[in-house]
Amino acid sequence: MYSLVESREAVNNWLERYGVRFGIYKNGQFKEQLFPFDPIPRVIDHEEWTYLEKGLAQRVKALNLFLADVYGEKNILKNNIVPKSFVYASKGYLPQCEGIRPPRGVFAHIAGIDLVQARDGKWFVLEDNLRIPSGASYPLIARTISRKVSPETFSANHIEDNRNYPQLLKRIMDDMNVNGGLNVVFTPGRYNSAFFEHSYLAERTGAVLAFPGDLVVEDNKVYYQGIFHEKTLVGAIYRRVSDEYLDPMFFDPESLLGVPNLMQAYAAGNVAVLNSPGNGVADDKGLYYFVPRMVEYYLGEKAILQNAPTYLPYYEEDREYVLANAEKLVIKDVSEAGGYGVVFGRDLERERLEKLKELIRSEPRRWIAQEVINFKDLETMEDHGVVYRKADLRAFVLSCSDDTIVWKSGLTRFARQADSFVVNSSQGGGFKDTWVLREHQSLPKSL
Amino acid sequence: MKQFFYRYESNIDFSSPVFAHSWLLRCMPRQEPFQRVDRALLRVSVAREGGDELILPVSYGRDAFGNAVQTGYVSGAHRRFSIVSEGVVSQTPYRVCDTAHGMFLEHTALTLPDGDMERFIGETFDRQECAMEGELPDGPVLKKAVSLCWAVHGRMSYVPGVTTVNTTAAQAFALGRGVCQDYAHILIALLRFCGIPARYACGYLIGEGATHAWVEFFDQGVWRGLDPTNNRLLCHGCIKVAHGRDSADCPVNRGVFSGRAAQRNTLDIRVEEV
Repeated sequence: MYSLVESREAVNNWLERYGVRFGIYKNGQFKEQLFPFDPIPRVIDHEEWTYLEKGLAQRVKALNLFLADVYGEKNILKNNIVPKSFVYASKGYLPQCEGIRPPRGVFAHIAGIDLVQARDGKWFVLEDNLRIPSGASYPLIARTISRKVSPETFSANHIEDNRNYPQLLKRIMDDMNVNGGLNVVFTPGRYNSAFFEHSYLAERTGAVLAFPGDLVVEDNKVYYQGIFHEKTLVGAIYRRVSDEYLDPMFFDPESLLGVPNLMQAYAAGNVAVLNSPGNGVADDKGLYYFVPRMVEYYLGEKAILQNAPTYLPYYEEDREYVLANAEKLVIKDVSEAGGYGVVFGRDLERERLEKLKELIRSEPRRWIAQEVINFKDLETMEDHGVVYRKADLRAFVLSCSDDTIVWKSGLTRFARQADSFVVNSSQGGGFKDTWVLREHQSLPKSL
Repeated sequence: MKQFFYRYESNIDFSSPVFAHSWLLRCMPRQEPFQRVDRALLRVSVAREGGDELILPVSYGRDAFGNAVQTGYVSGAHRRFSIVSEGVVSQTPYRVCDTAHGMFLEHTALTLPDGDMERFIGETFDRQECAMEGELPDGPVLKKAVSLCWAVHGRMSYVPGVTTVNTTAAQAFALGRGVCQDYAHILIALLRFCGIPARYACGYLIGEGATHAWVEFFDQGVWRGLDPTNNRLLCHGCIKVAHGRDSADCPVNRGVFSGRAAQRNTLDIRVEEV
């Protein structure tokens, strides 16, 4: 362990050589930056992990059932568990997906669930990501490099091997593949913030990395056309292009990133698309409030994992509370992602806070408010020694037709500044590996 | 029951050859309770460089709104893209017994009303006048819908060329001018604002040389057709091709191709009672 911490620079140098970068757009400029790695891992012991694993699998099962219901029979709306207008006014709800049953009925194949741990040890889910969650490749490659740089660390501790992620992902793609054709990772291209991940996962799963223009729909089937324009049938697309750009025939007609007529081929069952278009309705910041109710409704079980205490200004009672307590709440714009549109009431000057309250009154559906969770700080190595930083955990849950698998690792992101709560990579955060300990293994001795 | 023959012909001429052309059409009639498709033929072709014609294979499917869609792809260079869709439908009076999906109550970017439009609704209901030809069934929702239709018809002037496919209801309303698509978007915006489910419908109308757009609104288990451009409740003689939340859900022809070319479109539509 000590030798791993000592090797911080070495690991980061290797990551740099492998091109582990995160691109960000700031003021219209594309900038690529290294994604700083901290060698002190987040460690989760076996017992705690068993609890998280159960809770995560349960949550993702319910979310998958919700998606099938919303785009199908709509029983949860008919029974008034979730208000109709919340679903139909959600930006993530895509009418173009109504009635489409994806191959084997799975909607969220790769889910990224963001959790935080409070000081008292309790875990809370902050956000579900069911569209194109990125991040698994970072702890994956960091572990691979760390094992080379400091092999003794991994022989001395009984850590679950996380290098099986590509096999898990391949298993999901193979299971969804409708015709034995190619598995494809479909990237918007090299200027996407997570391009490293797209190329790395394609390489590690043996899938073809396809760029816009490489895929074409002919006779309602999808083909990959290589540089010599010979065509190969495609059976499953792990797409990392957002819904709105996926098919210019059905979504944004200006999109140059999409595959024209992909939606028709998908609706006809001629190709699998991972994750399914339209999933945004279930990871909408507003629908989040209802996830524990979905668990009860679909599975008949109490939700194992808790949401952070959340208020919906849409409900009058909650609105009153939010307006009266705005200074102590985190207020989120439901239509924004990636750490944008998140404000802490206490950081706002009086005038801006009043303005925000006005917006909450006029457009209550657009906002949610949450209690600030005092999350547990994690030890982080800085040049001058160990400091404490806020961190979250993105757990990855993979679903195929007969199984829901929680990857025994995850992306731990931490804030670089001492007082910051925002850990998103797009906001300059760094990352750690996440160790899940095997049974009967106590925490590693002090660093 | 009345029978109608329809024929839709569209040609796109490109100033220079284009290739890798994907297309998606909604140019064949929907099966509806009031509209049976007796015969429907579609022919899609391209003219290649030398002038010889190539008939393209067509994939038939349905979109999420239940509209018939026809798709295809042609890789080779061509200068002209042609569609002929023709057939015969039998119709009973226009009504669709169904439920109303919640999405038809939500505004879209194209149908979001502004303050002026909201005031306009109030003024319309205050005046309590309305004139529409023919016998009208009764009911409070129907009355509201018909008087809004009449008001939109009175407020707008039919002027082609001043709006585009991307003009919103609010923009067209402020302009006071537009075409059937704008009339339909405005009426949809007003109806949804009043809590009446409304959707955009389009197809071929007897006596019209272009595709026509109108509105369907929902009342007591029935969708009815309301045509704000011509100020009337629809009965016979409009061949319904598609419906959706707004015009963006039901374009007749969408295409994506490679090549730098100007396009010239010619369109010919005929509807005749058989």
